[in-house]
Amino acid sequence: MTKPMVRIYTDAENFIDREMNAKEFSQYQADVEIEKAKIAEAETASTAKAALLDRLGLTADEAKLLLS
Amino acid sequence: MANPTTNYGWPMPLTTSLVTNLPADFAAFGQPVDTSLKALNPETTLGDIAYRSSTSNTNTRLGIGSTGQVLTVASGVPSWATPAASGGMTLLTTTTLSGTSTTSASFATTYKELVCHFYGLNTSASNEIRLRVNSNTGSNYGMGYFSDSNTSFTQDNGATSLRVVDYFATVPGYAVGEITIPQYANTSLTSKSCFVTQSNTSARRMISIGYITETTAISTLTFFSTSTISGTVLIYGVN
Repeated sequence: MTKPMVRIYTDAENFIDREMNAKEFSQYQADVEIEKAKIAEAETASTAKAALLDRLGLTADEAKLLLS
Repeated sequence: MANPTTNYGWPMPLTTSLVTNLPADFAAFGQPVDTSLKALNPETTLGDIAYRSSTSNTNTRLGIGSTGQVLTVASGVPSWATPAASGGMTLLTTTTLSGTSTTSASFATTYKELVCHFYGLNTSASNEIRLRVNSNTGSNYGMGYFSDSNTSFTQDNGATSLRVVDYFATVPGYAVGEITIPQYANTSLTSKSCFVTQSNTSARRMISIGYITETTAISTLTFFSTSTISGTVLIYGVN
């Protein structure tokens, strides 16, 4: 499996482009999981908000007006 | 000989002086004139200037300073001095983002503040772009931010990186912004502040105040995402 590429500057002019090493790939996978969790959390909050509005019989714009 | 001049007291021949005494009179008059002129004009070399000394009618020579020096006052008299370093920005390094992660070249840690301008930052999928310093991957970062995708003040403490570009709603999108880290090289600080302002073409704007728990002077920045990134980052040192 091809791992994602990284760029590392060795000085102001020169850099190396290479595949992630094992440690970097492990960190990358952890970062992906963190991002997935955040997106899931945002989606859960969004779904809960929509359900609440539905129960109250309000649209999102009406709720925004009410809270303004 | 009498009739001295008012200001310098040079002895001048009188109208009644004998003609036969005139050569001696002019010698007695001319020598103090010469002495006075030299005391008033002590310069000897190109660029010299003179200023009044504590003795009346006697100036002090001040030799020319070095290139870049400015005239100042020290202990009540003029002198040449090298001006203090200005508050300008010095470009330390330019980084072109590529892959999913790009680490800058190691930069100088001799400035008071690090300012980072970024533009054209993009991700190949709808992801955010984040920042780490000194390749520190610990849970040493935290931030509070307002953004278009988080309309209320949102906290993200104990994170392993800082968000510097909000999610792009559509890609390709391009972000521009600034990151400021005051006292980035101060090793006595256990935590450094980080301020980020950013806007992108998905109309996703973000203002954040962050911290970085890092005692070592910050000498590299790593920008990364979970998809491929591109764009340009200019890293400046500011005094």
